[in-house]
Amino acid sequence: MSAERATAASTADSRDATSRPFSAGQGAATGNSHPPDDSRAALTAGVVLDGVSLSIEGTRILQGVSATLPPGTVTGLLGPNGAGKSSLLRIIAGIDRADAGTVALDGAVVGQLRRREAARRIALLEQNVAPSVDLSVREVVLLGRIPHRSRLLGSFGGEDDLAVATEALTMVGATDLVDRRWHTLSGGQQQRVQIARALAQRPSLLLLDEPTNHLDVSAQLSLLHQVRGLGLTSVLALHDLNLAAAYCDHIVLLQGGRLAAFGTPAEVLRPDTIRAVYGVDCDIVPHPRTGRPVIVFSGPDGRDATSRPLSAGQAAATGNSHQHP
Amino acid sequence: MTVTPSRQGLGTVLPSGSAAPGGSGSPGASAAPARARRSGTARYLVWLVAALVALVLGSAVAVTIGPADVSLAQVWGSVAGHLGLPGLAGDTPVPPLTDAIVWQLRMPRVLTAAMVGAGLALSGAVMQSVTRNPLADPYLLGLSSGASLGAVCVVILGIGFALPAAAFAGALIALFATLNIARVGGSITPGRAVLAGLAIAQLGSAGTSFIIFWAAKGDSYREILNWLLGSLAGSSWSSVLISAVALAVVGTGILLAASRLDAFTFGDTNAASLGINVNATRWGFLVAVALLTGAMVAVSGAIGFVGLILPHLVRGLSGPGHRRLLPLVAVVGALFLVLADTLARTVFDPRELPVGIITAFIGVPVFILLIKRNRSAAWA
Repeated sequence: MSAERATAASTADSRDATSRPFSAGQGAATGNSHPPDDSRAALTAGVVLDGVSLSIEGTRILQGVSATLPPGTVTGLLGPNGAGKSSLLRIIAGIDRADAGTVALDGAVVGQLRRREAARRIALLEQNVAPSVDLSVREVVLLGRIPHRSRLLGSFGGEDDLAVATEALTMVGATDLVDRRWHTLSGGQQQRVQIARALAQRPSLLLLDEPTNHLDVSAQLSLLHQVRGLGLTSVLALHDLNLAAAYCDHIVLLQGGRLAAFGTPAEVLRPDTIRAVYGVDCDIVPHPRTGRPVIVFSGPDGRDATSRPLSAGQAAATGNSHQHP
Repeated sequence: MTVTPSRQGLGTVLPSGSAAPGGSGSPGASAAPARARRSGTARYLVWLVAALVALVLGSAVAVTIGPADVSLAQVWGSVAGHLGLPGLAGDTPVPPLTDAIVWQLRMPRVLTAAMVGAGLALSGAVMQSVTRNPLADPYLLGLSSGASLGAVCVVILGIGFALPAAAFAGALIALFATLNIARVGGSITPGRAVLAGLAIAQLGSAGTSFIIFWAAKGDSYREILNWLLGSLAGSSWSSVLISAVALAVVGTGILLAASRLDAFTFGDTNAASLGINVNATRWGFLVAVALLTGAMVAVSGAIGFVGLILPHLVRGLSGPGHRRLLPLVAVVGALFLVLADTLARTVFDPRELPVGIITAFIGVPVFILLIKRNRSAAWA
């Protein structure tokens, strides 16, 4: 039975490889997962947002967001709280539908894909998830195979699922965690396992909603390093501008549901733009080693944050002297 | 093309090796988890087979237990005779009275108990998954008492053939009511669901009692108790038929879709990102549970704690994956209710207890133990 499968898979592989001699890697990927539809991939590779708009109960969440994210690049999705980052990620993932505008992935309009088909191409990591039952790491990663199981008899079979799950864990360097229970993992380990789950979906697009939340600085850096190392087209909602500057090829900066700026970190992360969107002052200096922009914030009105009166006594003193002459 | 192909899979990334600091691509590394998995599968199959054997033996022994002495050989002889297998029935013919006790009284009762136990345990496991609520169960969320109310209504009206349909309708209405009361701002918290279920269950029980008091003649107390606490005393071959058909049809559907239940583990958004149509899938499962519960309540009344306790216990043996959990929980549920019903009709012989008293006596301590052991947020 499994030998039959293997044979079928290898014929699919070889057929793929001959039909598309320029991208053997694609053949290997699609041969294992689902029928190739690369005629569309050739049209417009990557992610194309075109005028994405969304309103919920009369409140405008997103308004005409357009951007083109080339394949294999890492894009940071930035903006203040409530700017629409999570909503945009959900629309890109095909979970929510936009009121107007489209998201296209490799030439296919995401909103028109069947859910399972979308789930085979796009993986989403939410922030702060917890399972309702205590799963092992292996079981969590295997969840990523659900969109690849057949609809009717999906509860049976899935022999190769385990191999894919092991591969995915290997890619994030978490094979040693395979038998651990989810609740025993650190925050950074949980995120790595979630990325492995996402990789088990064999996506061409990886979406992460504030993946560095609640992680210590070392875990934040290694997580983003890992995401970059995957080579997948990735979109990350982030709060930390410096992490975005260090790890992203492009920045989508949202403000009140509108696209405030789009471009490379150096183009987007400028003092005037940051002032306009976040209302804070900053200076941009080049990173001493990488040369990438580093944002150095200053207190309101450009003052040194420590120069402000902090202690209650000081505040009372200044208050007395100014307001009660 | 200098950029990486966008439709990139693991196959292209893996050989680079740079992304796998802690892992190794050697066959040994991947074979070890695979072996562990296989031994896990073997262990699961042992549990499943053991549970099935225990169910068959337990049911056979349960048929022998009762006021009239019946031997296992006589049970076998009677069953073989009725199934048209006289060649296997043995040499000594079964006395007609014993044959009647086995085939007309005890067999239907034991089989109904098995079907109802399996159905309720399945219902609980499914509800706990799609509501992400470890306390979800048809009894606690009011479905069972809604089904009882529906069933009692048609019994009083004298249209007994509509019993399962009315019980299903009652379960469905109770389910809608509970979930609507529990919903705040679009999300349902486990605690609110249980509180809402409590209210609906009380209302259904009161309605059931009221209708029986109002309409019944003679000893209505026993009848009320049987509907509210559950009893298999009235089981006949038609009860077996109703519960078996419901279990076969709905249970098969649930088993085929079991993999989709796993997708709910990390919540709705995660399920949606795994390609699940969350609302349609959830309601599909919930309506299936209402159907199953309705059929079971129609033949046995509202039996509590089977759907609540057994999924938690069986997860310890099968793991949380529903492809393994559901078959095992159904078999263990069947075994549990066969044993509980045997206790119910023998412990205080000649008096007979509603089986729900036994399931509560066993279920509540187990439940308390589970509460003490699980301090995770999901139980808050």
